[in-house]
Amino acid sequence: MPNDIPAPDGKVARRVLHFFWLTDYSASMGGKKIATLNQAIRESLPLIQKAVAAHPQVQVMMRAIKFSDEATWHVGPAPVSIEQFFWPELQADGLTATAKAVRLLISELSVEKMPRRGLPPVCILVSDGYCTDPEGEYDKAIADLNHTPWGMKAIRLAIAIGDESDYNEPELLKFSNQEKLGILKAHTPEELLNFIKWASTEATLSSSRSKSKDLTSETSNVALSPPPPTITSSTEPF
Amino acid sequence: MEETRKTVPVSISPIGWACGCSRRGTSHAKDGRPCQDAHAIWSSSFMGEPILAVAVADGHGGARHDLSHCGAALAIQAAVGEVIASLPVAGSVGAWRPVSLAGEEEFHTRVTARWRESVVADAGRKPGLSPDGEGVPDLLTRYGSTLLIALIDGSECWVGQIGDGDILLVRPDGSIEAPVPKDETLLGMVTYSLSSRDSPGLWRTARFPIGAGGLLLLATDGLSDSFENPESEFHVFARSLSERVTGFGIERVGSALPGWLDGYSLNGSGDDMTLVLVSLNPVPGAEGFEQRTGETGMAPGNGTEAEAGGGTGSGPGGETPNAS
Repeated sequence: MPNDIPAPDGKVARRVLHFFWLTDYSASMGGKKIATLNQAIRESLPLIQKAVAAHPQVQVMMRAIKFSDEATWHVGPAPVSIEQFFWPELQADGLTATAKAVRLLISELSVEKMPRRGLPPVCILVSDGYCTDPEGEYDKAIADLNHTPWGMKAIRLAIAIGDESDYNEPELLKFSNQEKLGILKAHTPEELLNFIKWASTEATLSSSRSKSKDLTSETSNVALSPPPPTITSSTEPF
Repeated sequence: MEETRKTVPVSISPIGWACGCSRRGTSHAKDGRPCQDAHAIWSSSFMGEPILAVAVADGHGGARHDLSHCGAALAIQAAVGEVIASLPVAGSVGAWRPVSLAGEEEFHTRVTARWRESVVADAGRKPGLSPDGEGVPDLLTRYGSTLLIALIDGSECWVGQIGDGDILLVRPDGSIEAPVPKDETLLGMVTYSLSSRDSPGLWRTARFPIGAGGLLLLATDGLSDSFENPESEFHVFARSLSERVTGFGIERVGSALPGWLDGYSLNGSGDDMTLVLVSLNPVPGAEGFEQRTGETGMAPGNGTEAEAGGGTGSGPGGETPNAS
């Protein structure tokens, strides 16, 4: 019997993986740091596309929050498909409103904006300094992030730039929920380039691979293994 | 993509019609993984009362659940097997109900226990795999699966669910009922499982009268995850599917199911997919009884269907695997 029944209605779509950059563009990021950041994110985009090509059921949608005196959308708030995503140049200026950036992120991680069924979002924070928001604001923002359903489930990574004395390691550690990984410390432009590429592709792949599991035997979120060591010809620090 | 299996609707007079389909997802086909879904449709009568049991299971997949395709097949067997085992206990005509109203151990608890026993037995038959060599909890994890069940007699339906997946009822007027509410504690792609330590407490169950009838859907999560919004757009799909059944008959809809599911997997979640449909006739006295009875235009008869997507063998006694 010929079967020419039209398929039932309903919009079909691939699984959406929401990817958020949170990038510091405070004055201390000037020079090599911001130049390397701009370059690294641009170079990571085709790598993410290539990595996710093995998972055609996944659609990566990307957004970016930039923060200095304030936190604003660099790309967004509407998510942009990875194929359409373009990274506008960042120019360093101002302070380091990390708490405000986290707050902006939280506003997009509610179950009202992201359905309960979905892949864990990827959130990568890149910073070289101390949060300059009023004291306690950062901890409050992190506490709220940890109580936001998708904030808890997200793959959250932090990349620190420069010398350990320049940035607030405990502060950045609170953003990361990758216990084995801690924070990624980029002392040199080459390390920053590598970490941004590695973190963005590995986190995207890990989220894409995540699928139904027995919740009661799986207590932790998606966990990433440490990155391979950076083989570098240049050790010149920032 | 796997060879399309013939999907033959099963008539269960006077309950209605049922058909189902399990398909290997495009991502599984690409990686050479088996379909980890399974479903069973079992019908019979006991002391003159019609009985229909439907089970849908979704093995978790992944390295930690490497035998979950077997776990899914064992899950549907456990569900139907427990129905059969419970029949003689019912005792008298008209007294049979799939689930006792009070007093006895809950049906789903017995299904869970039966599944666990069958997993241990299955492991014992596999070379190099024995619960003696590893703890039973770890073994159960390897077989981990969800399970959705619908048990229907002449007047009412009981549904039970552990883990993700969807059970929807589209009424003749187009309204949609979700007898088992979504578990708001689940977020992302995680799910509860028959292998969960406290699995008897993780079941969600409901009982409802068939009344005006309608189309009952049981589906694994791969299907609803293929829609832009797994809730609202999936409801659009369910309502539209009900219209297709009304307009074209369940036999033609059943024939179209494999192709549709393959399309959803290709353009959507990539996951394995199972969809079982039960077209419920209105019960005598209910609104729409005269108009809807027998409207599929198919000859009445009896039949059973079972399919283990993982290819691990036929289900419990009585069913006949579909021909490929």
